Amino acid sequence: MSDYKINAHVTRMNRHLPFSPAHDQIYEEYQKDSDTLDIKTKALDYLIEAVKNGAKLIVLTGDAGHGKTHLCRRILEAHLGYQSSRARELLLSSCNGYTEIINANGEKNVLPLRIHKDFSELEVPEAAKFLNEIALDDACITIICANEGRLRAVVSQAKSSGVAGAISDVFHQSFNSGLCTLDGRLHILNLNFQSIAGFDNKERSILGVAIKEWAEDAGRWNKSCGSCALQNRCPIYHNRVLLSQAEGGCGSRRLNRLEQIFATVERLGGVVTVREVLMSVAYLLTGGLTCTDVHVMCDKSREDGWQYEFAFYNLMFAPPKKIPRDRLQKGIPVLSYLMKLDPGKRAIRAVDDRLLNEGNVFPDGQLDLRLRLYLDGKQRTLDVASGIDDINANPVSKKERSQEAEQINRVVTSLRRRIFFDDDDSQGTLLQRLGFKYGDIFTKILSGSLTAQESLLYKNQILSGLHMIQGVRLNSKANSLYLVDPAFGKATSEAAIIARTVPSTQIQLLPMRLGWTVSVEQSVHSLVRSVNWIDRHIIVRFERVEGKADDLILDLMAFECVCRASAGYVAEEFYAHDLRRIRNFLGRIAEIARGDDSQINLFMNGQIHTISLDENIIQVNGG
Amino acid sequence: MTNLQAPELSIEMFGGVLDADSSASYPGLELINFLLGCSGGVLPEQADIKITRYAHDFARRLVRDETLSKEDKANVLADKHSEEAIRKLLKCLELELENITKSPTWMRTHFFPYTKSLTHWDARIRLGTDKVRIERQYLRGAGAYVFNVLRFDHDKQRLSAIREKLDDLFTKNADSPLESLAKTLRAHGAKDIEPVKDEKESESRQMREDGLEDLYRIGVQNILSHDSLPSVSKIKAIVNWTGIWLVVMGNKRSKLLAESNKPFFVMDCAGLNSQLRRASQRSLKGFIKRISDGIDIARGDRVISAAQAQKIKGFFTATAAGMRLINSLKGRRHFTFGLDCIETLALVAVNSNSELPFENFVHDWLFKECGFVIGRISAQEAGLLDDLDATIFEENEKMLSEQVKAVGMLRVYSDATKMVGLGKKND
Repeated sequence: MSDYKINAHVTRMNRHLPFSPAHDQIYEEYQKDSDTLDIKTKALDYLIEAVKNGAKLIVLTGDAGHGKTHLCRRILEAHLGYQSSRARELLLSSCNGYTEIINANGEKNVLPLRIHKDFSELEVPEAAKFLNEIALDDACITIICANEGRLRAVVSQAKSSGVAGAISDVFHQSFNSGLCTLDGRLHILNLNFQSIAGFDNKERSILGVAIKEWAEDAGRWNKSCGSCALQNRCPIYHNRVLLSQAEGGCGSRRLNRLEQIFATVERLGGVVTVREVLMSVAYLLTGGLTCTDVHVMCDKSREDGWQYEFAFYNLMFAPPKKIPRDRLQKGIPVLSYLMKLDPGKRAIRAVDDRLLNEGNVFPDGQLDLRLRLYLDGKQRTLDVASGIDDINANPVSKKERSQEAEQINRVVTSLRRRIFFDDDDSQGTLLQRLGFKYGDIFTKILSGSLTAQESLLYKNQILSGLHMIQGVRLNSKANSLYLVDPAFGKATSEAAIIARTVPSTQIQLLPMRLGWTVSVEQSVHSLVRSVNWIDRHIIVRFERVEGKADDLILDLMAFECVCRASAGYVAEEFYAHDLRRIRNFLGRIAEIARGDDSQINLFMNGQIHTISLDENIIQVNGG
Repeated sequence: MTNLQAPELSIEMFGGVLDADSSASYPGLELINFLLGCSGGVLPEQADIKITRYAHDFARRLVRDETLSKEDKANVLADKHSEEAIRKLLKCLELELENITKSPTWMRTHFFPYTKSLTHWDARIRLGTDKVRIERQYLRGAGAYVFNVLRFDHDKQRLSAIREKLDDLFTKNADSPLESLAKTLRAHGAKDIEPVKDEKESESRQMREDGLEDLYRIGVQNILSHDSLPSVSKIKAIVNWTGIWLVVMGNKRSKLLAESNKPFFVMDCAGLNSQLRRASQRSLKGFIKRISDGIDIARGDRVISAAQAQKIKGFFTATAAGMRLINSLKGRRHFTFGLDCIETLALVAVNSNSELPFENFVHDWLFKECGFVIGRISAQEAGLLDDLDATIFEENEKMLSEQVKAVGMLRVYSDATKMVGLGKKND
């Protein structure tokens, strides 16, 4: 036992897990310096710049866990020069919204800060009163942390004049203009737009930074683990090896895949906070195990094979036996999204062929590929790196057959998950592997760099999907969108009246960020640049003659729904909610700017006919 | 002693004629007939009113009656192709009928009143004649009652707002191609030469002012306030809300008559927990029993046949099923919410340009106003936590929030704040 070591870094990661008794230490105010992970986010850069450039009031809004309090601590350090431990003390003692916090060195030319870190906890009338007492010409900078719902409630109750009115204006305008400030004095930094998975060529995402920091720090890992007798049998250390770039192999590729899969969650409408990222990373590396747990399990079982369920790629899509699924999903909600995306449940012939028939995809002897299986009535540990050929049970009853099938299923699922992270895009892009057939088009539109041909091609595909959703199955390709009268807006309609036609020249496909028109001068204050950004949806914009426009928002799932419809099939039940929203939208814009009523257009049998009402007799052309 | 008839007892118990034959969407259809056909305009002030009724028999027979003569068709439709095209078109506008195994007759076929000229009354051809007679068959009086609930509103400001918005609702699509076509087709059918008095309407004017009437009026006002919705969605919501409100009203007014421990609807929104499913099944049985007990108490010494009593009971289960408040019309049934129902309840709960916290929607609106038990607090107040675990209801509420979100009526601003509504204009 004396050769067994406890790694303080693992203990620290365990403290980030929601099922740890020491979980409260994840909250900024109660953290120790050694636990802190200071990630430089775009929101922090924006905050520092705003403070430097004359901001008087900054409202930090976003869900619990997005990092509002963390930003307050960082601005105390950056603007007023406090050490992190002292800044934390100030968070607890002086961030009540009334105390002015002055420069750490007493420099008088630095404007003091007044921080209200718990604004969401005030009763609405009290919060409204607080806002109306702030003056934007104070010799002090005020920072308020509030969740978005509470902020809305407060500004709607406070008087429409004064600071509350100004906040209300900036806040509501921000959704239309895409700007965080109108005058440079009052800023609203909306962290709900912050992405944890968005990354570009220059910088890794917040998730990527967190994994790199925690998986790669050789000092922290090698100090204890290097001399631990169980290093080679430890699933935690093995996860670190799998995810570490420094350890060579596929670490970097796996990291990219992890970022992409979290980005997919965000594009499916999931909101992932920074706190959740830290919990997720701690969970993926440790699986909820402590060093002591590993020691006990290794002692209990001399043979390996139990470790595979703690491999990060298995943890991501299925909980280990010791943690109930609902508890895990309640603690780390992003896992409920991830579990729905499990690549282990998707059979792709080419992939399965490589895994099961060709073999030699993975080198032998890897800890996560040794599985303890129940075959022929006893436990056997098999190395499944080359597939399932070694599973040679002789089932003689239905029970034994289903038992064998279950064991094979475990192996295949695990292998599919592992290869999902090890393969590069040449073996199929991530979205294709996850079952999003049209996902690559979605990301291409989000990239905003479509050629004219591509734009036309995808627009036609979307038009065709929107036609199908309305029940308009045209015989030929249409270069306009026919909007059926909302009374007929169902895919099962045999015939429908066309209420309005929108030529494709009046339709644009835009990534989320281009939904706002922001000038170059204003771009420093744009929402897109204020946080780590990811485009979560595309906008199908329908321009009206009078210069206005109607935007149909399609996230990844809704986009998939429209594109699948374009291929001729509308899965009414599966996409019920998206279809309802899309039909409501089309119904609404069909009523706008209706064409002249001298001619009625009718869709039937794949063609558009016209109806004339002459002398009270109805005639449909094309007979 | 003469036998008591269902309409008479129904008016005594609930204020209007609630009959199984006129369940589900029929009250809403009848209401729209009154709204658009009244000679004094939308929701007239004078008590005595007359209504002009249309049969729309030509269009209905074109869809469902093969005996419609060639001459009749030739007077309206230029050729065979036009006939086929218009028939297909009209089929898409039919009111969906459930629980039928064979093709309905033209008399059973109704068009959904998407536009003004698609609105029509019941009509039939009596045996031995070939004349179309406009008379009640599926529209039995429930719509006349809700029409009176709307127009005898003590809050004159609300009445005037509803009147104005209803007027807008149908004039908005007055120039639509569908309306033009429907108008032409309706002109070829029978109609009242002179506006007529409606007996059932005059019998259903007694308002109880027990808060339930206000609930209906507020709901209609809220639906009409959503300017960003297509007219069709608002008309559908009014028809659905009429059905849902009649069920809610029936439950509460029966409760006043019958002694009942738990006069609530236990909704199973998650479909995951068998205990909740059973509680919901029991709740449905309790609801039916409550109506049954109410009938027994209300009839007193008078005699009502089982068939007549069944007409009243049948109205509620068929309407609840039609409005997707219960999972099915037959078989093992329990209370749940269909998507149409959720959308309607959300539109009804909030006024345009305002939002309601989800917790208030679940507790204050769905539970306190309508009697739907979904969340933990509602379950506690309904006394259900003695038998069931609170977490079941927490999960139930969570599942409902996901469904409301999915129909586009919930905005999640943060993990702590979820608001029901279509969002504010600026967002």
